Amino acid sequence: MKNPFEVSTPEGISAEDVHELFVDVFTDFYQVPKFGHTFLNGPRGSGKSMMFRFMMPDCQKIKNKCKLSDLDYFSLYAPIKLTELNNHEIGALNTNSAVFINEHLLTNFITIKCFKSLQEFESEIDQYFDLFNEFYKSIFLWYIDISGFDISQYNTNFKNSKDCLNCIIRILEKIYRDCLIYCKRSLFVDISYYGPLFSYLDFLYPILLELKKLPFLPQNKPLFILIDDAGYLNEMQTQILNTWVSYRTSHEVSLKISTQLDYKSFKTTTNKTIDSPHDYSQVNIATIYTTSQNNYYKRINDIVKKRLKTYLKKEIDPFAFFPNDEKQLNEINEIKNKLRVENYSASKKYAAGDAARRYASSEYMKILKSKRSGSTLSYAGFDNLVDISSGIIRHFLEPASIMFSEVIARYSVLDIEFIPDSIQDDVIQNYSRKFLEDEFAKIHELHGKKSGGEVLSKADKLYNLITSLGEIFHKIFISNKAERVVFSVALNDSPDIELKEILDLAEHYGYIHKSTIGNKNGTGRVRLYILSRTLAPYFKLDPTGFKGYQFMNSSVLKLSLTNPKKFIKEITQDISGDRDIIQLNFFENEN
Amino acid sequence: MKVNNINNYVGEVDLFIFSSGFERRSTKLGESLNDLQLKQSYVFHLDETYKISYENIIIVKKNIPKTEIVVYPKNNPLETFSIYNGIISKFIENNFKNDKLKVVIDITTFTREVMLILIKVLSNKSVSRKLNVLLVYTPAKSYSESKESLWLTKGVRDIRSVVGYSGLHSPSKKLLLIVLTGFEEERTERIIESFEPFKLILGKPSQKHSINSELNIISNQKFDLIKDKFKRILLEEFEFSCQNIGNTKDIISQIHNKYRNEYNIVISPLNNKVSTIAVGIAGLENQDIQICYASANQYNIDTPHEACNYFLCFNLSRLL
Repeated sequence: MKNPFEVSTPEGISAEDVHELFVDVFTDFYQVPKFGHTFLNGPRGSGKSMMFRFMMPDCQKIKNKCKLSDLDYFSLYAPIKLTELNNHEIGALNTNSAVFINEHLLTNFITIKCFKSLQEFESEIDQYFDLFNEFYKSIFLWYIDISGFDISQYNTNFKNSKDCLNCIIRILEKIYRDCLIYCKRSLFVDISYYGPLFSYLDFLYPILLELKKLPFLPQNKPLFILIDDAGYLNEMQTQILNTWVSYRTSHEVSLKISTQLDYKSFKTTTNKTIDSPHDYSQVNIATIYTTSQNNYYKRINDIVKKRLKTYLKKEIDPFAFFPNDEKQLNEINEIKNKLRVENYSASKKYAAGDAARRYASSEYMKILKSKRSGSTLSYAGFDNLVDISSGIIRHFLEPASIMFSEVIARYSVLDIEFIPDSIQDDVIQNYSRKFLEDEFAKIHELHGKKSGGEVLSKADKLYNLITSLGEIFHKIFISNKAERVVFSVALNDSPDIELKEILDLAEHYGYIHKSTIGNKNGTGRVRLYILSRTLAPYFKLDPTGFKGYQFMNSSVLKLSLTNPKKFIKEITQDISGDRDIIQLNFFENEN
Repeated sequence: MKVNNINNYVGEVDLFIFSSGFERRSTKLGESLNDLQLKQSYVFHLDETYKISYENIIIVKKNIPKTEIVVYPKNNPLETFSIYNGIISKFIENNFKNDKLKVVIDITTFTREVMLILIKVLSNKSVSRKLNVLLVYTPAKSYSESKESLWLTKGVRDIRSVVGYSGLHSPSKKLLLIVLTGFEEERTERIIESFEPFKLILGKPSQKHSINSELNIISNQKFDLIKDKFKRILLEEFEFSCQNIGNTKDIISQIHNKYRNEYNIVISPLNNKVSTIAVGIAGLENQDIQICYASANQYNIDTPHEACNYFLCFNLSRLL
């Protein structure tokens, strides 16, 4: 039986399947399919590649039920794989020619990917074969000729666009390969490069401008190059790509660049920076999906429905497929009823419902703790699982896929109607634990060194920050505070270099998401740091419901890096309500 | 070839090279060789490594006092390449006259990456025609009393192509990843997930050519876990030898020939040194193959890597 939640690389999915499975998210990320350079940032598994796959012309043709030339935009796909362009032989070039060689390789690499993308549409190109042949002879050959390649044996006539495209790719690959061989040889001896040299402005850009004019492509519409996983470029290639962004040629060719929050630099080759919004727009998936005004919940609902229908041929409500722990739900509902009665006020008609919504899970947790029977909060249930995925689609699909396999393994069933709550809970608890503990071994290796005079490494500080936040949020959850489901810290002031560095690291590893929020005076915005809800089971927090946040001064938060006990003690005193420290106990609703 | 009397087998040696390691078996060859038969000896020692590795150098130095320590940096393979290239070039410059110089290299505790870099240096024509290189490997007898909890490394720090084996890939082709699996399923998973290959081929050690049948059972269990997890992209599976370089190299070359036109091929050798050398030789013969390495966060220095009572010897010069 096909596991409906299996995570597939979008590259390997057919246009028909993408059309069946993809949930249109472009209302959330409206900048992406528009004119202009865009950086699309998000952790691994947040849906970047799927978005790019959906933007490819084969999918767009199905979606819009139209010809290639009638599309709203035309995309060329250029995925960067882990060690494809970033290898030591290229990195070893340390002469002045390194920039030229790297730009040549990057330009050629993307040009090949662009023409490779066109191969999908041979039949449509064939309808204008004479024009395409002319493009080959008068444009393509011209540009490789002036780049230094001997074209004398390539001025041939082709039977069809397939042969023509194959020839273009063959020529480009020969040039690419020759340059790689040069880089390899340079490892042992210093040698000179005599091959052709391509650059974006002198080669790829003018070729694309001419290509756009061909009638099989949409006329006067945007042309996008989708550069997927640009974090895998080396530092120099990154600077070269930034230089392309800085050219501001996006009215003709827009670069859509995805990163896993691992982009190495925003500097150009001339050491200037590219800036948003002047040079590019920026979309951070996790930030958009972790703030309250989002459609994330609906997106996941649609994804689950589509997958169950496509792979299991079933129309099942996701809530029924991922049921809650019924006993826990009933007990919480009883508490809610009790709270409604206790908080009834004739003058404040929302007070009873508000109290029930805000405090029921907290009161339930207190009861569990008082019993000391070892029973813990169950995280089963579709709504819990969506919240725990914390804006990263893969954090929903991966555990769901494990749960599905577990049901098959445990019960040997061939027809699955739902995932038992005990399996959901076991899997998601384990997933949350692994998210923190397993990842930290890696972080320790990379950031475990102490710099001169320091008592703690960056990894130690990061661990202290995350566990301190988890612990205080848990304390708040089981307190009697007015707002108990807290996942965020809003800083009254700017963090200093040390704190900012650790907060950036936390964001890079997906432990926190950044956002902004209106300050207390209503005169501007302050930084908001949201703990990933994927850690909710680990710290025994309620991932759903009302989301409060806590204002504090950066100096207080900084305390958590080096002295977590003191930090927790400070906050705990405030939670018990003995002190009125404005920066520590000011809660308001996230907006 | 299995060798019991190593001194008889190697005879007079112009240069002995070994790597410091935390495993007890890292000293076995160094302690067994007759110092009087060796003209020069280098130990390649990783900077900032476990203290026990340095202690193991001292043990070998008691037997071979002439051993010089060459320090190479952690996670800087380009500089490592440069250091090794410099050492070998200088050795040839100072010693080569007419006859090939005999070099014995104990590959037991080199990391796979560093060993492949060394083989790349030795494969350079200006070097290979002046040296006769013998690789010696001390196999592990058993790993741990608790087989279920056996681990050799934890965590993956970085995944990179090996210097000299970056492959001549074509941007128009899709990616095929070939993994020669071993005990480290976490590394295997991380590599597959990081590359996001279009297709995957998984290799497992054959029972017939396995060094130790107990290890083979563990290896098989881990193989099945990985196979199940990535069945969606699995193209085929194969068996390889952990003892016979030529055999494994031929299998790799066959797979390469079968798929080279359609795919860019990346190979990750995660089993023992013998099969890693085979992958390295296949990579040197077929320049379009890329070999990748995943550096580990943590090595299990407490696992008793007990040495077998024999050595495996391979003539690298004949393989190149």
